[in-house]
Amino acid sequence: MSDILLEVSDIRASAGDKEILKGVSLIIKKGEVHVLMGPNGAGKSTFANVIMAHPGYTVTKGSIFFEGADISRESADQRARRGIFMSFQQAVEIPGITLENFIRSSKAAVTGQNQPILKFRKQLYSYMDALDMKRAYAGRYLNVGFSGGEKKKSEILQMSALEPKLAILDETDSGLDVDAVKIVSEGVKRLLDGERSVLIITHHQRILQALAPDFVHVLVGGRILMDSGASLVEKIASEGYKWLSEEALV
Amino acid sequence: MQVKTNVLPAPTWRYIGVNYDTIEQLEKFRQGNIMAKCSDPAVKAIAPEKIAESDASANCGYMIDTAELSGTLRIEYFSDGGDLADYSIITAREGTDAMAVFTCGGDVHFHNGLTRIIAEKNSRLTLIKIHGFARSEQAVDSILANVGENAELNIISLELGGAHSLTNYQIELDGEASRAFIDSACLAKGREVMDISYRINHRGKNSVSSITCSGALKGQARKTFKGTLDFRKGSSGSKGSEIENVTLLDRGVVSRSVPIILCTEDDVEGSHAASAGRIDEDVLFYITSRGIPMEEARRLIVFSKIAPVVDKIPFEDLRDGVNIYLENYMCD
Repeated sequence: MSDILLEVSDIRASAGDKEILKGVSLIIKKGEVHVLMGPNGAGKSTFANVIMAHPGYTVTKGSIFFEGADISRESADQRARRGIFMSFQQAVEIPGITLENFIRSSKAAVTGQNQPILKFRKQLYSYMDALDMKRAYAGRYLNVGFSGGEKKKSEILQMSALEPKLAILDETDSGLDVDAVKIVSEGVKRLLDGERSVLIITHHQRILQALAPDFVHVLVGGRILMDSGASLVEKIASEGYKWLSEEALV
Repeated sequence: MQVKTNVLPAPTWRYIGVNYDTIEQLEKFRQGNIMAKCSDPAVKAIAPEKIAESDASANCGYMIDTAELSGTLRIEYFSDGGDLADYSIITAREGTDAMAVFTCGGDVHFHNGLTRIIAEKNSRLTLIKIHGFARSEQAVDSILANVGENAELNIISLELGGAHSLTNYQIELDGEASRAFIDSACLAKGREVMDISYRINHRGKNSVSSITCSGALKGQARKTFKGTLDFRKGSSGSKGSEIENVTLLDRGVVSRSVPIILCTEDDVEGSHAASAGRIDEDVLFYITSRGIPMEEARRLIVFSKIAPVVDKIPFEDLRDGVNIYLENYMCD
């Protein structure tokens, strides 16, 4: 059986009339940690959203396979039930639905099994404790009144509870202090069991120091200009992206 | 005979159709089985002759003195085919803190409910009203309240449909530092018509009020919300706010909002906000990205609109009843 988890082939996608992704391909195997970097506006978040089937983007070419199945035409909920998770850069607030109830409903949806309240709560609290998140947040409305850092933790909490096969983290480390980055990194590490994979979209080195990526991809202008190992992160940190664009143009 | 009700305190252009609503005034009640049930034996039913003496036209009712209550009070009015007209008088005695839950349900042609509230000095009263008729042609619910010095009145209201339902709450903040908070949610579907009128008159100094109304409309339902904060002469230092938020589930619905702030006093603060719109695509995507199917996501969003009100209902069976109503609401 193939160990390829996600296979994105020559994806072109646009928002309205504007083409953002101009032929992106990427293969993620089971157990791998991938990093997607690139300047602002390069299309990184669009790429994440396209994998997750955001209805605001139109895929005009290419295909997406997950565990050998063509999911190109599947909706977001179908993809989530296959085991894909995306941590949002801007988590939405939903007054009226508690964090606990939302995660419980989500867990029931992805597993296809009802989640007994007490058993689920015990498990949820253990994840919250590990993320240094106050248990009282479980009873609060989803992300309402949460600080920026708490929202990021809420995303990682959801990831922990849903145990996806592939987690896409869209700038989950942005706006977090050093301690919070460490806690979030530990949360992601716990997911990695050799079978599950992570795609990290980031601008920062800190989270990568903790998670040791296998591959780094650089997206510029809607195209992946370079695939490399973890050493590329340091070069980007010291020299930015300009050299890469120039090199690609030569 | 048709009579005008929910009349706007400051009329606007007639063509907008919000200046008033009309209801049918009954000459005589249709007979049927009326059930009025109260959880607290200390609460006395209002004698028919007492009702006859009052201005109210009613066929059941209770007189409630919060000093005599032993816990959260629950009163259920139910009709099995007859017209239901309930009349309740609540006196929140000085220094007491009480909660009362009223439900009205069943199968009625006509419902007319009136709750008269007197909140004495330093009292606090929370009144939860749930209206969920299996069938009703015309349902009118009114509250008339006077709130005394440093007293607080919380009204939590849930309106679950009806062919033509009208809500009319009028609160007089008479005392200094008196407070009134209305938190309501409504769901309408099909061709249901809802006319909601809340009016809070600030008379005492440093009085505080807020009105929050949220809900959802589907099918060809029509809803009019009229929220009035009236800062009268002498209400200096008072503050009031009103917010309405409605989710429009279908193109055929009509949501009209008339927030009004009247002011004859300088040193006051009043604010209002209203929004009506379809379900936010980003919220839908967020929910579905967690594996929840689209229809279930829509149900969750509608539930989220009424949940802040439902969560305040202290009885599980009533909360379950609302959830069942919501399931049916989304399936219709």
